[in-house]
Amino acid sequence: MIGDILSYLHVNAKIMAKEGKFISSRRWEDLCGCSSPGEIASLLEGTDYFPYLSERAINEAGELEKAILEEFSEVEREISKLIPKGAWPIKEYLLRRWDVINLRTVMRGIHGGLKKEEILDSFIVGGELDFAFLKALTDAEAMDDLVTLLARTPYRSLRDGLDKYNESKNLFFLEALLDKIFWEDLLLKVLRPRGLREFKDFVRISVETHNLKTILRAKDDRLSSEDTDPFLIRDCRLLNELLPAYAEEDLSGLINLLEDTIYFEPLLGGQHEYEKTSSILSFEEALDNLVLKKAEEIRKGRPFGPGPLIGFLVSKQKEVRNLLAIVRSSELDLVRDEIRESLSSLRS
Amino acid sequence: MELATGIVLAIIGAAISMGVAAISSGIGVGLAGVAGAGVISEDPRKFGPVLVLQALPQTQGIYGFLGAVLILIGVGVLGGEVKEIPIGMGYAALGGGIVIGLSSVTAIAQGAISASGMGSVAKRPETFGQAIVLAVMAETFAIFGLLIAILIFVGTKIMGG
Repeated sequence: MIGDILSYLHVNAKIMAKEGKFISSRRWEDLCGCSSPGEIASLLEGTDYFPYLSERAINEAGELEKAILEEFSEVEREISKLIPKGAWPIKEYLLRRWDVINLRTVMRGIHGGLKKEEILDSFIVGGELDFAFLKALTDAEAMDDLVTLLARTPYRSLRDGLDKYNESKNLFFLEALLDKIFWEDLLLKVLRPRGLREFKDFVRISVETHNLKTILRAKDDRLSSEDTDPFLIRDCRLLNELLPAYAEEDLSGLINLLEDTIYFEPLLGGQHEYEKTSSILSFEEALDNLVLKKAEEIRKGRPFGPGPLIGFLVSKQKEVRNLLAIVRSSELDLVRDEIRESLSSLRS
Repeated sequence: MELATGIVLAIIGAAISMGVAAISSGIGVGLAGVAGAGVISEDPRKFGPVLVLQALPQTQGIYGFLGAVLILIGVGVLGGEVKEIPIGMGYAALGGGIVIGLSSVTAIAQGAISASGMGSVAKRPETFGQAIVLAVMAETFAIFGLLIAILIFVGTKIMGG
């Protein structure tokens, strides 16, 4: 018992100290009123983000977003070094997330016809893939070249989505596959070590939300279940319960199918927003908020194990996502209330 | 032979009192120290509250030391000639030492509470008082243990005899 407590004491105390430095409610209020990257940057003074802000970040929203992500990546890298040996899947999760983010950047860059330098400039250092390798990926001129370059990495099965992408030029097929590779691999790995019950719970709920997001997005894009099935993670109880029926249902029908699950209420809330905005983001936000709520429950359930770590990671992700939303909103000339509405619930 | 057995039992009592308390306090302070290092690495300004919380599990070590000194003075090993100690009195000293030693194991739990309290203080500095109160709760039983040992020592004339 003491061994379990001891192995997480340092990292848990450190992350609680980091939580003490989360952006306060008052500062969120001020941030919501910002109308330029420069104003946002000045309000970030005194926070952990400030040392990452360059001269360019003060003037360009894109650079400010990158600085925020760089801080996030550095925090996760720092924490990954403190994780006990027995909890190696958490370490992998923290590092490989950034590989997925960088690979998505390359895919979007190629899809959008960006220049090599522009893609290179958007990378966030922090994953397991070597930066020189990432740089080499920017040489890819087409998605086929990229998939060939990834042949010796865990992302080699992206080739399974290539035909559909080339047919439709819809990036959904590759992005969903990338997420599937990440979560499926993590799900397999997390089952091996003993303990880590909290992290397993977190991975399971993340896998379920991944599947739901994929299905919802496919429904919104009017894709058939045959198109969607290859991108779903099979080792998922929720999916197996939904499988016989979900193909026939529309969005409302799908939500009704989830009536006896924890996803029903949040998705119902998301549906009201969806009816107003027609944006699938309302569902994704509702599901992300549910993951945050579950992470909080996991944290409270076992305060000496990896629970607080999981709670912190999800909360930090939320803070970063809200900050990025503010940076993007500042360029759109939105008024304060609209910005506040566009944000997920603000944390104190 | 009876004299020798009594004194040996009393010395074993003193050894248990100090030894177990030292181990327990060491573990407790260690637990708190590991967490404290985590907090300070993130926010060095929190050194003050962290130090106070880390010091709390040390008190059981002090009780153990006090119990051992009382036994050693009572049987004359410290501060005078070694007395003739009846075997019954030797057992009483041993019992007192065991009570202090075992009740000092609370230092381990106190270390864990202090470690948790440090995290809490790091996140919300205003919870420092509450963190101290929670950690001190574990101390109560070590104090009861010390009191019972003193009552044993007084009752059996190891103290004040």
